[in-house]
Amino acid sequence: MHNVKRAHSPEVSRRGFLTGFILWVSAAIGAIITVPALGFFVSPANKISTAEKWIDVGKLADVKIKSPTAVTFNIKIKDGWVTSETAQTVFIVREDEKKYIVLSNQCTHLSCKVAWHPDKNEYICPCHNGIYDMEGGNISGPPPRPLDRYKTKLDNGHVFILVKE
Amino acid sequence: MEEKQNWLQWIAERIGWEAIDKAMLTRKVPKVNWAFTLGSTTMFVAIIQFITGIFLTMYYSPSPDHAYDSINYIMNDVTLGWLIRGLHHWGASIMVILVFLHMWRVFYYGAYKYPRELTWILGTFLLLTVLALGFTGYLLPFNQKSYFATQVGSSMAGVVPVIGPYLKRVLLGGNAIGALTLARFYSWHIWFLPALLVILMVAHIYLVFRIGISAPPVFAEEDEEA
Ligand code: HEM
Ligand code: FES
Repeated sequence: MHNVKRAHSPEVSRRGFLTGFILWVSAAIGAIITVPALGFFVSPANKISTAEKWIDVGKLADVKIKSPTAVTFNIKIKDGWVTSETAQTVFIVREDEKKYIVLSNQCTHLSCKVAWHPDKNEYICPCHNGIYDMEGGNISGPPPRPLDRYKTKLDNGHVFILVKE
Repeated sequence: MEEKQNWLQWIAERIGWEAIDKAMLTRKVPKVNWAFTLGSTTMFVAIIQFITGIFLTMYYSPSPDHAYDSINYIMNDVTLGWLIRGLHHWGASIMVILVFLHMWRVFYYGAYKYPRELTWILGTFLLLTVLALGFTGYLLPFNQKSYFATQVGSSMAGVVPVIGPYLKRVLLGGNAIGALTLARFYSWHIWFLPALLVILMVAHIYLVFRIGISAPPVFAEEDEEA
């Protein structure tokens, strides 16, 4: 009796089976589209170049002591299907005859460009009033750390810095 | 399992799922054959075209200086770019083939007759929209083949009596294929025509649900058997 009953009312009905089957097949088709599409979507984020390059930023002798000097140069960047040049600015700072550093002009708070104000002897960020001293150390405002320094080398009186391409 | 059911039921109750289910999924249909799935297949490919097309706009650049290079970038540098573009590329041709097969099925079974004339008329506009999508999409890679296909297609518009030359200028956005042509073909291809396609598809399929699908015609001897 028990067996007969089971045979006539299976736990999974024909309709239930087909509904489930169609849902699973649909989900599989959805995944076949979604997974490649996600890879496609995030693709450029996974292709960041780590190449570095030494760039000549001028003669050290041209920079006055204790007077940070902004130097602008162009670097080539590959931007998708476009190769373009973008300008980048750094500060060469001579502390004395021998010692010098090269600072990035990019604020360590949220990446605005800082400017050197000779009258105040400070770099000031226009965005949220971040203030740095001549060597890039923090004076006040929101920036969490000093201005970044480039790796440098001196060759034939010229300053070279290592920049990311 | 128990909880999930309740959660689904909660939504089902609020959106009136029962009525949707009755009207669309568990509605009664006559005994038909595989040829009656061609419309749904076309709709499925249309959805694939929408998805892959939307993704392609993330890298494609509709300017004469960049169109070709941006397509190369998709094919060679973007993760699975060849696949997404390949689906869209082949899907376009498959869609045209499917629309014709579907139309022939409807014609063969006489399913265009009363009360389904409007379904057929909307269908003819769907056919034209699909062809227009194919034509405008063909220019976008901006290679030799695209260029001359557009040259040929727009020259055909140019020989329409009286308004032909003007029609051609409207189509191209000027006298020759250039930046304006590419920009407007892109605009048609990604905005005007897909919007039109969605509106027509919704209306077309609404009528299919409303009127119900036609049963295959019954022949004399089968009739006696029944
Ligand atoms: C994007 C293009 C189209 C889509 C997505 C589409 C979709 C559909 C779907 C899902 C059905 C339900 C029955 C079936 O699948 O056979 C249908 C029926 C129908 N279609 Fe289309 N269709 C398209 C183009 C056309 C064209 C070009 C025509 C004719 C000029 C047409 C005429 C009809 C007619 C008359 C019916 C009713 C058939 C019946 O009740 O048996 N459709 N369509
Ligand atoms: S970005 Fe420089 S202070 Fe906020």
